[in-house]
Amino acid sequence: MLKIQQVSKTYRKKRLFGEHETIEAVKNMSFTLKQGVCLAIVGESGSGKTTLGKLIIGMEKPDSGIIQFDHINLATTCKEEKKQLQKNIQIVFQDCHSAVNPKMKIRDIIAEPMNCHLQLTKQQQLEKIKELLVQVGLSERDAQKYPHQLSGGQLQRVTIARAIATDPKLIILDESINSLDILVQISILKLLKKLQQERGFSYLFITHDLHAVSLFADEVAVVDQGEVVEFLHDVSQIPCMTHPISQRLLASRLPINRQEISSLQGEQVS
Amino acid sequence: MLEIRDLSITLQTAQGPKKVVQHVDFQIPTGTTLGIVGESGSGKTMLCYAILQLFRESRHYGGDILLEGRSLLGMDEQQLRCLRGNDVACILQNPMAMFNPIITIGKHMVETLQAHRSLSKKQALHIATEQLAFFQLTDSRLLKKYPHELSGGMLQRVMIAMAMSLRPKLLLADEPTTALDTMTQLKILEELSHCQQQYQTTMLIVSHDLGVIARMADQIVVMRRGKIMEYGPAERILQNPVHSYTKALVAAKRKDDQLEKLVDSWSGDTNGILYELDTNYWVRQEESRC
Repeated sequence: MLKIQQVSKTYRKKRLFGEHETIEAVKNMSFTLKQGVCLAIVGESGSGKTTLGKLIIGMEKPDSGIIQFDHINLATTCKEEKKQLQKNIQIVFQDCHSAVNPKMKIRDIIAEPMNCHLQLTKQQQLEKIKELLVQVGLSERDAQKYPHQLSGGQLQRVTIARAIATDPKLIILDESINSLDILVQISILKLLKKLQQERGFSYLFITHDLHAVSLFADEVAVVDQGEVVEFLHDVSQIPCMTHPISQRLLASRLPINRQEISSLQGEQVS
Repeated sequence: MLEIRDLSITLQTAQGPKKVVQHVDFQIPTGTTLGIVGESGSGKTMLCYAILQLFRESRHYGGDILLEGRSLLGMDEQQLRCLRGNDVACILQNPMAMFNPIITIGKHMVETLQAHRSLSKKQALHIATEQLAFFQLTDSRLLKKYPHELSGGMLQRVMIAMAMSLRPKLLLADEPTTALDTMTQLKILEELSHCQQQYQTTMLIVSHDLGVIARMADQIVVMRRGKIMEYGPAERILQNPVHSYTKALVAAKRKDDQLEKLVDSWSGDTNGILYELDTNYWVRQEESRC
């Protein structure tokens, strides 16, 4: 469904004096994502994970390479296709407070993508908003509230409701749940998993939390400095990852089991 | 060393008084670490502020906080100023927001040292360099840098170095690694335990991540909605949690088949009474659910 071929993106950092500095955020990255699959992109900060997400939704343009979604090349779309793409690819950002307009009611926040992409009557739209809110574990009354009246976890659920409002095919989760409490994380992952099974959503799950990956993802790509360094087709293989970067990620997990802690500490010392 | 006795905190809000911490009791013996784990809004940060006695005008305290036998609630501003930094130091969550952006790292450190000790600038700089070197920050230009030039992990290390430069007896770490990625997190935690071994510091670590707590703490307090749910030795809580909220938290960190059941079975009830299950092991009673 989503096909990334040899995609590169370089940023130029401007200096007041002297040479421009170039940073290769994404280097020759290639992978494919099938319908109904959750692919986790794991890496340290600065490894190009977020840039990848931005490239896929079209917020940034790649310098080279091809991004294909449903056999449509993102770089050469006509207006019609572009609209279709926007409907089908949605993103949930890490910081939910800056992802919503503080002056809009929750109702309007969720309605916005529907206004653009779905032809619904006012009444239908209202019904759907209520349905979505219940689906993400909020109450219908929350529709009348403003973002500041909700907690971070609740607001993040609103942004998820907004993302699924247009029935997209792919949802990009860019560190979307890291800032939430662990039990809230679990319930949101549960919801996303359910949607995946019911509606065949695909996910691109960008994170550095290997534990959440092992609970939620189907496939894993480890990235470092803009390159995919290891790709696993089966998430249960995580403990057997071999690349040094993957092993560093593994070593930085924080297990709660005392024996596991001491064995990890041994590895870290050596 | 630190003893919290039946502490309650009431905040004055626009909607009237709000109880944010209710009847919290715990002790931290010298040189050990106590971890507080809980979700947002559970009153963890309020406890830290209470120990530092910050914002005391707007809060109403019940119970007592004893640091080495001295009550903090009865102290006046002068005594408190002496205490903060010298005896109690604090590391906060977001290192980016804690530094003054127009002052260099060196100036920050010198300022802190001079505020508490009578030192010349040269002596203070010397101590600062030494202290930074202890945390493997040996770059000589570091002292001349501004906060925005450093990464979050670096700044957090500088903050720890700064907090430790006065050799406090008690270090409060309020979500010290939440804003950082996992690899940096590990480094910071290692440095904290290293520094505890070196200086025998007593630590109070607050986090919502049970993984962080499990790695550092000797004792664990599980909090929710301002109340203690479970309090006891780390080993026991992690191996055999008793309260269903703790069970859900522990299961969420393992790959547990019963996870969903446990998360759902957590009733959200926090009104039971706290009873002593064993010596120094307290659990809040739950309504039995059929």
